[in-house]
Amino acid sequence: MRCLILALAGLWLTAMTVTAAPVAPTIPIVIGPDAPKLERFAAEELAGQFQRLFQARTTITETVPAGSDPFVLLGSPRTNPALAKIVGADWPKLSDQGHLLKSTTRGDRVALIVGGGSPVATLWAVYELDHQFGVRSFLHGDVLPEKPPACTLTGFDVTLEPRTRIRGWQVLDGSPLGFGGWGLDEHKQLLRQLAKQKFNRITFGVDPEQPQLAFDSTSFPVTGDTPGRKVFQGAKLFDNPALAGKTGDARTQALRELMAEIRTAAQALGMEVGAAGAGVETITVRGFLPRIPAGKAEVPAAGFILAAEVPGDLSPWVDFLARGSCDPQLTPTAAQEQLLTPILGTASTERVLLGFQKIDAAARLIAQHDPQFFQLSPAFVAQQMQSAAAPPAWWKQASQLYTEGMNEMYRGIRGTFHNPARPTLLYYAKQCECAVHYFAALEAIRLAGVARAHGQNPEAVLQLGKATESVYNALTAYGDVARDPSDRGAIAVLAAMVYRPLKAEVKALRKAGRKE
Amino acid sequence: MMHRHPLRTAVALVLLVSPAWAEDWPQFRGVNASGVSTSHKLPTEFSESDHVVWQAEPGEGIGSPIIVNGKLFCTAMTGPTTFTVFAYDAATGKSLWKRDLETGALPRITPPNSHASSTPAADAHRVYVYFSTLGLLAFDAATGKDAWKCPLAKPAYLMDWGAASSPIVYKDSLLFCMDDDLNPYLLCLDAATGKARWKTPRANMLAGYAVPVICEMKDRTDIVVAGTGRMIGYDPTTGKERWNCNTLVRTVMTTPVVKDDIIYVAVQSYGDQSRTLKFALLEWMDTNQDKKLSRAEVPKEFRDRFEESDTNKDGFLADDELDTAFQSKGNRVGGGNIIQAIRGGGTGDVTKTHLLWNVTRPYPSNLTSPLVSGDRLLVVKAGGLSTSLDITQGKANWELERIDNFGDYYASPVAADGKVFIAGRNGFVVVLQDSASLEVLALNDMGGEILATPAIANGKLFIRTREKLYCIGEK
Repeated sequence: MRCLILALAGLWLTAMTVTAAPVAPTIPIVIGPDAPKLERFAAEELAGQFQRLFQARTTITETVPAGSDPFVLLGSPRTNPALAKIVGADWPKLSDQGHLLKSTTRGDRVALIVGGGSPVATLWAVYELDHQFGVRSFLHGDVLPEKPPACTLTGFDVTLEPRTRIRGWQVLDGSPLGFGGWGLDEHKQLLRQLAKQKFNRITFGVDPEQPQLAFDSTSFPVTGDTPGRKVFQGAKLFDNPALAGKTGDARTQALRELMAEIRTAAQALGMEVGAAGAGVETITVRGFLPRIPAGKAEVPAAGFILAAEVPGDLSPWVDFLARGSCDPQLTPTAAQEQLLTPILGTASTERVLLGFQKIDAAARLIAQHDPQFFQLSPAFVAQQMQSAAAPPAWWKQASQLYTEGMNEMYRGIRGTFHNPARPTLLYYAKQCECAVHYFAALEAIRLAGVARAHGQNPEAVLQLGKATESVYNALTAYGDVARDPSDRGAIAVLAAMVYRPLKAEVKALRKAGRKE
Repeated sequence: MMHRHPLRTAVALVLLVSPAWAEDWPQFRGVNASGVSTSHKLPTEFSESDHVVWQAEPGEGIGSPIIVNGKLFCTAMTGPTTFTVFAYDAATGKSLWKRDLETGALPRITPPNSHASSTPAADAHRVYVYFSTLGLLAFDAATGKDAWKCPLAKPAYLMDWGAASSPIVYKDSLLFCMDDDLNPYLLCLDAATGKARWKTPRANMLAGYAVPVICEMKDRTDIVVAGTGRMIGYDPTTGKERWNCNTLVRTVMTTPVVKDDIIYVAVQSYGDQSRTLKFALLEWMDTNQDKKLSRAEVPKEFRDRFEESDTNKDGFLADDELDTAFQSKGNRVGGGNIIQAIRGGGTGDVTKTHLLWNVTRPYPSNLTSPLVSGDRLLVVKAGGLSTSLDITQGKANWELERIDNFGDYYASPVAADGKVFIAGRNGFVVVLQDSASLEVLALNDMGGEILATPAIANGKLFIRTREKLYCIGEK
C-alpha cells in the first residue's frame, strides 16, 4: 500500500513537473548606493524591458545579491562601486556620450555591464540592450521582435561612441501639421521614444519670448462633414489640448506652462534644451504625404536638429540618423533592413524595403518639381483652378510610385496578422493610398480649371465633383491610421483648405450653371 | 350599474387581441431580406441627438439589429473574447436580457469587419445567432436561456476577410449559408431543436456573404442563394439543387431581393471577366512576387488544398495549378458588374430561359444589396453614387447620380413610408424620396461609423453604429 502511495505520488509529481509552466528568470540589477537620479531611472527602464521581453522578475539593488542568477551591473566605475570592483582597470576610455554592453563573469556567475561615460549615456546603454534583443523603437512606440529572443546576458561586447554629438528634435512649433497640436502627454511619449534613439537635445519651434504668436491660427473646426472625423472623437475643434478653450492671456500662460513642462520632461531624460549653436544643421522636413528620406546618405557630423511636419512616417529615417551617429559607414538602406528584419522577418522586410524605395522616389519627385507643393492656404483650390493649366506629367508618375509603394506595403503585411509591426505597415499603406487619392484630386481640380476656362461648365462641375470625392477618400484613408496630433492636424487642415473650398466651388459652379 | 361606452370597449378589445407590433424585422434586411417595411410616420430629419426615442451602447459590432414581437435583438463584442447577445424592449430600450459567451481564440479578420458581424434571426420563440468560433446558437427569445447549440467548423478565407454570414428562419427551419473559401455549404436545421435536417455542399463557391432568400411561386417554393458564378434554387425540404442560373460573377457579397417570383440581384466583383481568383492570389498573396505561391504564402487552413493542388510536387503552386487550386474548374468566373432579373423556378440550367434582363454598366456595389421598392430597383455604391432602374426591363430612371454623401457604403438601403434610408460608413444617413426621380430629403448625422443595415419596425428606424444603437422615431 505504501509503495502504491509512493508510486502514485511519484506519478503526480512527474505530471506536475511535465506540465508546470516555465519559471520566469530572475535578473537583479545592481546600481550604486549614490547612483544619480538618471541612473536610477535607467535601472527602472531596464527592469521594464526585461519584464516585457522575458516576463523576468527583476530587483533593483545596491549590492550584488547572493545566489547564482546572472545579474546586471549598471552605471560606471564612478557611480557604482560593485561595477568598479568587477571591471577594475578594464573599463574603457569613454566620452560622456560613450556607452557599452559587456558580458563578463564573477567567478562562475554571469554578469552584464550596462554602462556609460555619464548617466545619460548609461540610459542609452539600457536602450541599446533592448535594440540588441530585437526591439525596435519607432516614434509612435516600440515594436517587439517577431521571434522572442533568448533570455541571456552572455555574449555582449558592444561599445558605441557617437561621432555626431548633437542629435536634436524641434518640438512645439505652431503648425497643426507639426507640433502645434501636441499636448504634454503626446510630447512626453515622443521624448521617451527619442531618448531610446539617443536624441539628446530639443529646441522649441516658437519664439520663447512670444510663443503665442505662432498659435494664432492653429485651431480648425472638425464637426459634421469632415472626412476622417472619427479621429477627433467627437471634438468640434482641432486644437492643442493644453490650450483648448483658452484665449488671450490665459492661452499664452497655458502655452508657457506647457513649454516649461516639456522642458522638465526632456531634462529628466538627460536631454539639453535650447538652441544648439553654430555648425549644427537644421533639417527641415515638410509635407503630409509619406516620405522615407534616404537622400542624405550621411549623418551631419557636427550635429543636427530635425524640424519635421507629420513625423509619423519618419521613423526609418530617424533610426538611420540615430544609428548612423555611431556608425558613419551605415547606409540608409542597411539601417532600414536592420530596423525591420527582427520585427517582420526576411520576406516581409524585402517587400517593405521595396515599398520604401517607391515612397522615397515619389517624395523626391515632389521635392524636385515643386518645393511649394505642400503650401496650403484657403485660396489653394481657387489658385489651382485659375492656373487653367493641364496637370503636369510628374503628378501621374508620383501617383504611380505611391500606388506601387502601397502595394508593396500590403504584400509586406500579408502573413503578419498577429505581428505587432502590422499597424506600422498599415500606416504606410494607408498613407500611400491617401497620396494616390490626393493626386487624383489635384488632377481633377486642374481639369476643372481648364474646362471652366473654356466655358465648359458641366465638365468643370463633373471634375470638381471627382476632386471632392478624391480628397474625401484621401482623408478617410488617412483617418484610418491617424495616430498622433500631427496626423489629425493634417486632416483638419486639408479638410479646411481643400475639401470645404472644393464643395463650395462645386456649389457655386452649379448655381452659375443653373442661371445660364 | 356601471355604463360602459361601446366604442371604448371595442377599442380595448382590438388592442387586447392585436399584436403589439404591426410588423417585424426578423432577419437581415427584414422580411425575406427585402429591405422594405410597411411602417409609417418615420421622421425624415433626425440625428444622434434628435428624434431619438432611446439609445443603448451594446459595444463593438456591425451586425444589424432585428425586431420580433416587440423585442429587439443585437450582438456585440463586449470584451476581447466575449461575444454578447442582447435583447431590448424595442419600444422603450429597456434591457430584457443579455448573454455573454466566451469565444476562445479569434480568427484573423480584415478591417472594417468585426467578429460580431452576423445579423441574428428570430421567430416567436427563439433568437438565432452565428459566431465563427461557436457555430449557430439559439436562445429563448423571452428569457435568453440556451435553447440549443450547433457547433460548426470555423470558416476560412483566403484573403482573411472573416465571417459575416447570417442565418434566416423559414417556417420551422433555420437556414444558414456558409460560403467560405474552403468548405462552403447550405445548412438546414430544425429551428426548435437545432438538429440538422440537411446540409448541401456548395463546392463550386468562393467566399461570399449572400443571405438565402425565399422565392414563392404558384406551385412551389425555392430557397435561392447567390454565389460565385451562379444563382441556385434549392428544395427547402431536401436541400437538393433544383435549378441554376450561371450568370453571376466571382465574389458575391450582396443578397438578392425577391418580388413576386422574380429574383433581382446586383453584384460587383473586382476586375473584368478574365480576372479569375488566380490574379488576386498573385497580386496579394505572392509576397515575393515570383509569380507562384509557396506553402508559406498560403494561409495554414489551406495547406491540404495546397498539397492536393501541387501536382508536380515542387512545393509551389504556379500556372495551371493556381488556376484551379482554390477556384473550381467548373466555375472559373471573373469579375464585372451585373444587375439582373431572374425568374424563379425551373429545373436544371435555366441560364438561357429564366434571365429576364441583364445590365452590365458599373452601377452596383460589391457590398450593398439592391433595394426593390414599387417598380424600381435602387443601388448605391462608394462615393454615394446611386442608380435607379425600372424593374420591368432594367431601364435607368437615373444613373450614377450622387446622393450628397461621399465615402464607403456597407449598409444596404431600406425603405418605408415613402422614403429610402441609406446609411454611409461615415455615419450620415441619407433620406431619399422613394420615387422614380432622385430627390435627397435629408442628410442626418448619427455621429459614428455605420456598417450595419438599419432595421425598420412599427414606425421606428433602428440604426446601429459601430458602438451604439439608436431607436429613431416620433416621440
